[in-house]
Amino acid sequence: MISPDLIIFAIRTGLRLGEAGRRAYIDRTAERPLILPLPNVALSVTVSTARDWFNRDGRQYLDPERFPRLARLHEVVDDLDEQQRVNYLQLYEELYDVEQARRRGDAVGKVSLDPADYVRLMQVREFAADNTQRPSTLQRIVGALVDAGVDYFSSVPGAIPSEERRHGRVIIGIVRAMESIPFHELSVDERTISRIASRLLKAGLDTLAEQPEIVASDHNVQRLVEQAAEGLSRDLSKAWEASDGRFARQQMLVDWAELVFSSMLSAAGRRVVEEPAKYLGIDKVTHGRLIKVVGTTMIELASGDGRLSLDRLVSRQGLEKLVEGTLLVVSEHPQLAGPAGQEALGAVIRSLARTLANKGVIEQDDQARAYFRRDLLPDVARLVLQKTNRNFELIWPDLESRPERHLLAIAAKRILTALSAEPPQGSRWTLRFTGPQALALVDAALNEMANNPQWLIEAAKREDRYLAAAVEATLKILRKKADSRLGPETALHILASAVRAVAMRLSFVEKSPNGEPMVAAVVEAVIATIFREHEAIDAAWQLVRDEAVRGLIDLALKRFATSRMRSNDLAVLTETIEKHVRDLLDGSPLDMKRLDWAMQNALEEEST
Amino acid sequence: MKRPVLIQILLALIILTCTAGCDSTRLLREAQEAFNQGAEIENRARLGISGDPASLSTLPPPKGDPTTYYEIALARLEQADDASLKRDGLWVHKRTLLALTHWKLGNHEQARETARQTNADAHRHPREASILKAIPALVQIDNAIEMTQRDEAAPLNAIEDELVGTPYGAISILEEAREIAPGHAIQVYLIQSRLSAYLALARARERYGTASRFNDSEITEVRDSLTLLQELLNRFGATTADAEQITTLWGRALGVSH
Repeated sequence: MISPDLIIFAIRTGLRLGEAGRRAYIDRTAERPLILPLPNVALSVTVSTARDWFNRDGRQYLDPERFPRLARLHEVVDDLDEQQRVNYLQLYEELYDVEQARRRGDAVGKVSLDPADYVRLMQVREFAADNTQRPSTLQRIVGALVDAGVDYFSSVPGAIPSEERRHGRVIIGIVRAMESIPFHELSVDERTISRIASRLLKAGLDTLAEQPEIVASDHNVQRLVEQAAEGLSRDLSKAWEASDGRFARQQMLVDWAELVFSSMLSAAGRRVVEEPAKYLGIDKVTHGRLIKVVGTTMIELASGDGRLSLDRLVSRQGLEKLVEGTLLVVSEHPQLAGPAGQEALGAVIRSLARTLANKGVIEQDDQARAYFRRDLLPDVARLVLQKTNRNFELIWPDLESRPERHLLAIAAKRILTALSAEPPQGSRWTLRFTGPQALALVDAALNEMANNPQWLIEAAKREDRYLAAAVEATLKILRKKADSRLGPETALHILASAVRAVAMRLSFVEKSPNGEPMVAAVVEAVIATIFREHEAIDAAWQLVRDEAVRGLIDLALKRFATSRMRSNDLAVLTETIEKHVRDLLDGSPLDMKRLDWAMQNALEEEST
Repeated sequence: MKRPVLIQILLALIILTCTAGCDSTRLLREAQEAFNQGAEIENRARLGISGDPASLSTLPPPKGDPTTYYEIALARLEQADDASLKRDGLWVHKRTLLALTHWKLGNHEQARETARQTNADAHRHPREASILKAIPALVQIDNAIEMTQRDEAAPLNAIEDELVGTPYGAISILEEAREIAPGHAIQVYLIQSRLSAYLALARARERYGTASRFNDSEITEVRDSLTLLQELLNRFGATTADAEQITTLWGRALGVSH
């Protein structure tokens, strides 16, 4: 049994240079791995290297019938010009790999070594793996915690941990978490567990040092640390086992867990202090479950899809938002705390991350291709999760069987994909949206959707083609018919109005005679008229003002929504707008009230 | 209330005594850290490795000139107090790191002297004892490379003596170093150092335009070393793919299949 008090004592004495703590510190110093550099010889390939190999191990490749080019080069190997030298070395490298693969009885594989793996292999510890002098698991964990504690506190002048202070609570929380983990059931080695424990300790101390108000005088924070650390250590150990020995992956997992732990303490700290029963549970069954679910979801996010570079998608601040959003939705919907719910949460966030990254919506591995900055993902995920609280069952209709089918997430992905797409060839309007602008549209669109149960029911049948179709078609019209006088804020307003119009009447997504949804046809009627080349400068001056454009769009959509929404109505509406613009060219002022009245009358006449 | 004077004096003495000890330990740790960073840069460059090993790490991978890191390591080691490190059983660690640092900074004589003057208990400190034993070999390999690269290369037999001479050639010394810690992860490093010696030998013979870079017995030894390297890599935690890839990089540079 590890005593937290003893560890605090060891760190304290380590700091005060008492013998017990100091000894642990010294032992850890002796044990530290050394990275050993090799002698100063380059692992490059020369013509002589290749020549000797072809003369001996690769002789079969000199057959002039099978490899005539190589045979010719090899014949004049001492007199190769620059280009021939390059070709000869290239052939050598390729055929060397072929020969190695043949000897292994394996397929030819490109030599691409993971840098982290090589660095690790050149790290040498003092004790060998089978050395009996190695301390036990618990000793190593204690040693690691003391080591991390002394390292930490020695860099914070004047800070000495005590059981009663916030540092002490973190240490006690971590130690208790370690105590409750059944090491014998895990196949990860003790060094790994020690490493995880010490990294979590440092992350916890750092986070609470940054936000001391969280733990001013609350014992529940100790429980939060304990629950979060225990859950993360278990999840991480499992993910570690599944990492297939890839050091880079393991490194990523530990780094990610540290970030998650910090984010959980920051994001959950205040809530736990305010509502401990809700977030920490009130009995043995619910104790800490909420916190652990969030941790598990975040770890699975990292371990579930090796292709995602999470660090490039999410910053520390972004992760806090993600944790907070997840915590909120789980606290409101306890069914998410079960295994299926956890899986569903992870599936939704992963699918968001994957879509945004793969479609080049946000930065992933190719910044030139990226459009929005990183950290859009946590913002979008938080919006999606927060808005899930209302109409939960409608938004997430197949939680268990198809967890990724979260209607708001699907809609958000399609909107962001549309907004980030390159303007098509020949577009007149080529301005792009910023991340915050795109987020504002997603927010507005998801609000409309989440607050309209009927829309959700319809969307569930058609994978939300309505919302996406409205946004995509309207954006297409803007690209085609507007020009650089249309600012992105006004364009966003138009898109949001289109979404609102669809929310008001579903018929807006029915096809118009030109094959586009009605909503886009109405927008086209207005935009095509406004952004035409007008000879009268005064008329153009009045028309393309942001306020006028927004007013005309809103008016046209409002009036059309009150009509029977047939193609005749669309023709009448277009004609009325055209006529108003002709009046404007003749010198009349832009008069929204008169236009509104004219539209109303024309549509009523058409209906009779 | 004021503490009695005697207690105050005792406290001050304890703090003073301990501070000296802990400062030296901390200096050694800082030296270890700096050395590791320099070595990491070198190792990446050696295999032409680029990329970020710790993609989520708050600490970016070290960049720049490894010499700077080695100089920092040397400065820290020179500051560390031998007496307190001896008392704490860390003196051997300091001396090993000092020898390595001198070697990397090109202070070859100091590296050899440091290693020669340090007795490490192979049972208690297998890693340190092996490294100290290997230091002259590492120095000789670098020396052989430098002799080859001179405008007017040193005589081939002098370079060959540095590398494959008996019993003072680098390869013989590395064999002795390997015998100190059988079954220890240091073997991976020592075998790669041995392959470095053969590579240095190949480069020297290329410079002299010899018909073949290795004779038959050398070919056999290189082949065996490659096979052993792959086994050791597997044994000490490399994945099968990584072990094959590392071995292939060495084999390809040496022009020997295994």
